[in-house]
Amino acid sequence: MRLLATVLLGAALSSIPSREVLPARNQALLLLRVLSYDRNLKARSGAEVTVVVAYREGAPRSEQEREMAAALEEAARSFTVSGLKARVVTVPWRGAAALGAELKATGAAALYVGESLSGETAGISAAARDRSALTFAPLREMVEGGLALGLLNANDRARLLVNLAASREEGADLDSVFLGIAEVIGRPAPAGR
Amino acid sequence: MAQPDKGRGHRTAVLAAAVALLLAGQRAAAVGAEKLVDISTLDLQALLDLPVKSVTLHEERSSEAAASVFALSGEDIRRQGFRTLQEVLRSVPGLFAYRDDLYPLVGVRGLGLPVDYTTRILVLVDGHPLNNALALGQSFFGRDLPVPLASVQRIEVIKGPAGSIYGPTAFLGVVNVITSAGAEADSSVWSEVAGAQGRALPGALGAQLTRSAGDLRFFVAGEGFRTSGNTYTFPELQGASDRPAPAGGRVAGMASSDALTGYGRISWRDLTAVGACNQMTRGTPTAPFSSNLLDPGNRIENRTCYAQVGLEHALANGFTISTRAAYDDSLYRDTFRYDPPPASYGNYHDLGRDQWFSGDVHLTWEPSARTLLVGGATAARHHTLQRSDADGLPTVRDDPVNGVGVGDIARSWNQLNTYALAEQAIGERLRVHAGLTFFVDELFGNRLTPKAALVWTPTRAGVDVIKAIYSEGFRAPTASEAFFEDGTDFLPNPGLKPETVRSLELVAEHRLGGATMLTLSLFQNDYRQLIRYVTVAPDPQDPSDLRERAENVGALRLRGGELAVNASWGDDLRAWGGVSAQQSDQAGLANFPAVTGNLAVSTRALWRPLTLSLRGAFGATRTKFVAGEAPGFGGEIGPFFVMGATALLDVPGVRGLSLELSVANLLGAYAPSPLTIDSAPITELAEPPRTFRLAARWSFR
Repeated sequence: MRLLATVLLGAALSSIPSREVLPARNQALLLLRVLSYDRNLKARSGAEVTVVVAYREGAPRSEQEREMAAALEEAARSFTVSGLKARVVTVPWRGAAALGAELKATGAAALYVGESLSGETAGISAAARDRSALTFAPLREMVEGGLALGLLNANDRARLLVNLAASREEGADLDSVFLGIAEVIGRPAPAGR
Repeated sequence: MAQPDKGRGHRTAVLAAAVALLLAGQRAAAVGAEKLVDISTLDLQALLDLPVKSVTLHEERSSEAAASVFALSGEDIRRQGFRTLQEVLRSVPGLFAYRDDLYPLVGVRGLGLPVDYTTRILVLVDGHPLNNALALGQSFFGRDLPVPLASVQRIEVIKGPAGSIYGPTAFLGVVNVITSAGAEADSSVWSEVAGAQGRALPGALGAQLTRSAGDLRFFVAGEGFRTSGNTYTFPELQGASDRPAPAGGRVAGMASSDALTGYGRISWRDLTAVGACNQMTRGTPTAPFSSNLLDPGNRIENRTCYAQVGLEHALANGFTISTRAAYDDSLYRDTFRYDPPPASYGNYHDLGRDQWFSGDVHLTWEPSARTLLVGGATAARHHTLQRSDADGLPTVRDDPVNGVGVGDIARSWNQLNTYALAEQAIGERLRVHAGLTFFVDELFGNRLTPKAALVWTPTRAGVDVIKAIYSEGFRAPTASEAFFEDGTDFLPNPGLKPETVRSLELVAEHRLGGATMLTLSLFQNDYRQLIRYVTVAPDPQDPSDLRERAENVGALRLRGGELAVNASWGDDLRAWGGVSAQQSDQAGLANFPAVTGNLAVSTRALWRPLTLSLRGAFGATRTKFVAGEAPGFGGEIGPFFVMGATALLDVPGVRGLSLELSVANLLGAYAPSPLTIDSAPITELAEPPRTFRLAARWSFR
């Protein structure tokens, strides 16, 4: 009972937030698979599909972005996306302008934004829309905050979340089959309203 | 030492080694020239299913796993209001629940052996094996699991033997309980009250806390449980000749139980330390072994504790190494009360304890998505102690004529399990799996256990999958079966040989419309040297002196088929279940239902904050245990059908608060399980009556 009391007391007093994300391996496969539902992918890519993984240098949670980059590289060694080879580039966060420049320089078709940058959603979203890079994030609030796609862990099942308006502003045209599977938020208002 | 079937073992070892070398050669030739596959060949819905890890100790999608594997999530458990591992497992297609007066138990594909005490199903918590080598009494399927079920993130179930990687105990199947600790779940507190038969039963109180700071992660969970138990009516007691029986066979207040569970995990980068402990006591309403009826002093106690330190580190080029060192302490203790001496034994005690140190090294090399090589070794040293005695009376060693119990029976021995497994994709549609385990047991001999499987995806990956699986398993005799004696009821049999099983299984999976998976399995299991307790008369001069002794009692072949469905349409509908039909080549096999089935359904379609769920399990007629050994012990028990229902409300406007009303045994079904002769003259034990449970949980971050 002493253990129980300690647990209850600790639970009541503690207030440090914690989060849960999908394993990197799952996110990587899902990210590439979702890209194949984008009817504008070839227009947004060159000879290969470049996926940029943005991370915050020195942040404790940047370990998640490192795992994601490694998982994407592993997946890229085995799979093509709509017939195109995939390439993975990691980019440290140095502000929205610098990120935009990196997206342009690499010709990025997709941008993965990890937990460590969850507070930079607005700037990242603006840079991605400028450069037509489809954004992916592991947390619901990041998608609700303006990024396009969430690769979420919903009680031990993967769930896809789409901010439809954001995805369109980032240049993607997602297939209706995919939209039928994903949870969709941010649908544009019907015409005339 | 037993040397089981050496010639066959060497032939299978050579075959498996040849397959492994072939695969390695293919991989080497393929390096640098690997053909890329388009990601669109993978079905998106299949990718949404999270991977299972229990089959190869490496994450893979269940459709790719070379086994009949079924996984349920923590959310599934929450939506259905499950409270024990047995409640979860009885919803898994192909599994069924039964019990004796001591423990809840689980059978697989019709096979539910008496006095099994979870010695043929390997139970893991985050990969850590709980089963001891003693098996005087253990379950893990009730409130004796050393982690609160509310803290479980996922449960993976492998049906069929998995000896090729886990060694002994993975005989009928494997249950891997994965805690929330690895996923940084919510912190939460929960409480529960219950009522049945018009009486309030105390319930449970628990909490879990998860925090992280930098690379340091911390998870702790605890739960306390208490019930005053149900009242049972045993009409057969009215015919008891050995003890005074209560009026009408009504036994009240004898099924109380207490349990306390604590689980803690702390991790820093690749390093993890875990400590877990459960202490459970419970009464025994049937007063087994002819102990005094209606005596609350008849109680059993289990304590399962372990501490573990593990390191998992990803090296370069697809190598991962994990190591683990652990200490386990498993205790069983009982007291059965009789009339005071000299009329009888007074307070009679049994004790069994297994303390073991173990360590393992596990290597995974995945040079590409097409190749997986796994190898490792686990070593353990067991120290077991068994004892039976009565307060104030000499043991048989002290007084061969009038003694009771035999005093301490101590055994210490070593085990080593080494394993290797290879998976290789051949072309875009076929994966070949081959595995081999070499198990060394200082007391019970050595064994080679192979496995081979093909996984073929004739259409787009994840839509249709065909698996052909050959696997073997074995179960070493437990220390209680081999060495336990008490001078009154049980005799030792150190010459016991391991039980073995060879399994052939064909599995076809088809995904319907993305969200529904249909699985058809056909299986044939050949069991050899099965161990059962047999009644013998050890003294030819005294044929009335009957004792129980564990013996290898021959062979058994089971054949059958299983059809399962697993569906998920977002939050709107979640359903899983199946039907398993099987036949045995032994007529009258005890506790063997020819058909079992189950279904669990939940929906949030009516109103998003409200989850309504319904579950049911049924089974065909079964033969009672030890037919013919005692008056009334023959015959059959009829089919059973047990239902439960839950309403779960995520309270609108109060983030993280949920309320639950659950009804177990909704229809108040009798649904008995057959009892062993230990409970004579009682031959069957009813399902606990309709029980209402009201629970609240508050989750926060």
